[in-house]
Amino acid sequence: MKKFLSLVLVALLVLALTPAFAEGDSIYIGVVYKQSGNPYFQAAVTGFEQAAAELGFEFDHDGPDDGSSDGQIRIIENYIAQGVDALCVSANDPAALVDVLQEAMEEGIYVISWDAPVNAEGRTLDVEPASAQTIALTMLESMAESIDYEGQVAIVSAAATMPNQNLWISFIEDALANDETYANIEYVGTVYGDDEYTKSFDETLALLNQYPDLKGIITPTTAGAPAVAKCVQDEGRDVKVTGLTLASDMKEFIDAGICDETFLWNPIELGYAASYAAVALVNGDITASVGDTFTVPEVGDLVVEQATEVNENGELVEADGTIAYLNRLNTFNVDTVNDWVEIL
Amino acid sequence: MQEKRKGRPLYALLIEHREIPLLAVLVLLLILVSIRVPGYLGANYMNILKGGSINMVMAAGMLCVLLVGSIDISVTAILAFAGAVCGKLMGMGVIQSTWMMFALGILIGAVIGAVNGVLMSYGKVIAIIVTLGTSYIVRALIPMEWLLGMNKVTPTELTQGFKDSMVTNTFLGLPFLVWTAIIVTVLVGLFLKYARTGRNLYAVGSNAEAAQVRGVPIDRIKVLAHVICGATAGLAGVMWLGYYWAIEKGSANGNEMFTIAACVLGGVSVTGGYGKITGVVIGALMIATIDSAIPQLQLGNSMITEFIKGILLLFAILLNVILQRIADKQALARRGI
Repeated sequence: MKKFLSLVLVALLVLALTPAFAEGDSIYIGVVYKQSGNPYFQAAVTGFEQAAAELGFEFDHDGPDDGSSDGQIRIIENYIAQGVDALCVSANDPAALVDVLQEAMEEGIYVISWDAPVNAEGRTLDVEPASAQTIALTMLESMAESIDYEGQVAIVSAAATMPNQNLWISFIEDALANDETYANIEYVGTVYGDDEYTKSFDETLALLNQYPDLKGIITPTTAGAPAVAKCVQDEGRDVKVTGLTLASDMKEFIDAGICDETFLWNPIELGYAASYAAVALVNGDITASVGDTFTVPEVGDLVVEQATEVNENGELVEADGTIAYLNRLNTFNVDTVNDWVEIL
Repeated sequence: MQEKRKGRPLYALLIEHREIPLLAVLVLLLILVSIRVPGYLGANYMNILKGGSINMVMAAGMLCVLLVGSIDISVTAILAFAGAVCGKLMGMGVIQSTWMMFALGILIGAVIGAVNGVLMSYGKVIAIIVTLGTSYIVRALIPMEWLLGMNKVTPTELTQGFKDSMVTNTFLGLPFLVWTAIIVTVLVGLFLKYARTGRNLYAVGSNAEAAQVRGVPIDRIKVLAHVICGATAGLAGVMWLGYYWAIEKGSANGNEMFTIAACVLGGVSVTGGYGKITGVVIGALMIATIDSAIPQLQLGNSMITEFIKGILLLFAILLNVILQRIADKQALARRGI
């Protein structure tokens, strides 16, 4: 029933929109996200709305009910048929969408991946919230501030094989070893909770037992963070926790003072910046080549860089395609967390 | 009676109480860990008890299905489903009372268990396939965004009373989480030992035809075993939520193997008819000890810890089997066979 209804609605929408774009010459953007009904992407859409009001473009947004790549391909095909000028895609799979997006690019459509990248051959530009270095150093600086730049600090990560987390950890380790600001912080090591609640909990428990003077835990994984904070609370220890977290998971622990601050990117800003990138591309202001810049109000000047990836040795190396980072993280603390619990 | 026991040799005791060798393995394990991590038990006994409670509750139910010669691999799916539904209802303000949470969790679990049992005994489908199917279905139903909003339960949705119910509230120094496990264990133990229906579980599992001849309603007993197992899994879901304050689609995924392992370690026969709750308690404690000890052994990365976990499990079960075989052999030799 729901499927049927949404089909009818989509059909109506298509009918309603098609003539408008046959006549009008304003920019029309198709926004595709991972899954419909997800509050994270609903927040991102408000960013597109804001940009649309400022820049005067029109857009439509949709995502599959089931979070599948097939569903995204169908939506993209629809947008191509409607003759969009640009596509902003948060991909459920980096490779699966490449074919259909190449088709779009052949039609002269600019493809901007945002939030979750598409492989380089299937996109014009990738827009992402923050570089690995920004994420790592933001967490470390926040932790250092919480513990007055002194004492033992550990990391509870996801799985030992996860390239993102390992890259962040290597930036943190590097800063702890070489940056004088953190000279009095003793890094005791990283343990892996495999993004499983109970394992993260058990590993944290072991850390707390092993290091009676532990002052802080950085947990760069949204899945592990609530387990780490709950364990610290149960044990009644004076240990500060920070990391990449969802607001809804951590509100409890932020209010309880276990976390001073936690971080995640801001989906509204991300949608907003993706819009500005799309319009800049359509207008020909940028070509998505390295060194191009475009201005996003409130966020700043975004510079197009060569994309990077982590090789087998855990080193950051250049990759195909270009990318623009907002390099801004959203901070959750006692004042801000309530605004985000419904969204993230 | 007392005098008769006095003259009995050790091996007879070992045969009657198969959990004794297991207890020896548990003690050995604790000694080994304590050599590497001095003061381990003193610092961690409460964590072992807390960590093992949820698995113990599910293992008590698993014992019942294993006794009738069946198996249930949907327990952790039921855990996640019951926990998620109860938690969401609390978040929506439908349920305020902690007791209601437990009652509803048990009810949800019992209903899913009944479906398992009916499909398995009346539909004549192998239990492992039935419960594999239900576990997928039940887990797939968990997000239910159209009904419940976000697809996980977060601490903010729970009442303070419920959040305090498992760990903060204690009685005689033990948190309610552990007491719940003790109560379930004792109830299942008494049921299996003294209730006629409970003893029928053994009868059905050891020789179904003989039981049928004796007038035991085999199908109904099998359904009952699955209902009990489902109910304990539903209860475990609410315990999980009360302990961790969070539950989501993938919660406890894969842990059903540790529930079954607790039973098998405890000497429960997977072909039915044999098994005691005391053995299951020791089996569950052993798994909880391994879980708690491994991160403290400081072995390095997670690949090695999983390797060691597998070795410890195999070591425990092999030692148990060997000790039992020696005892059995001696018993046979005594009888001149």
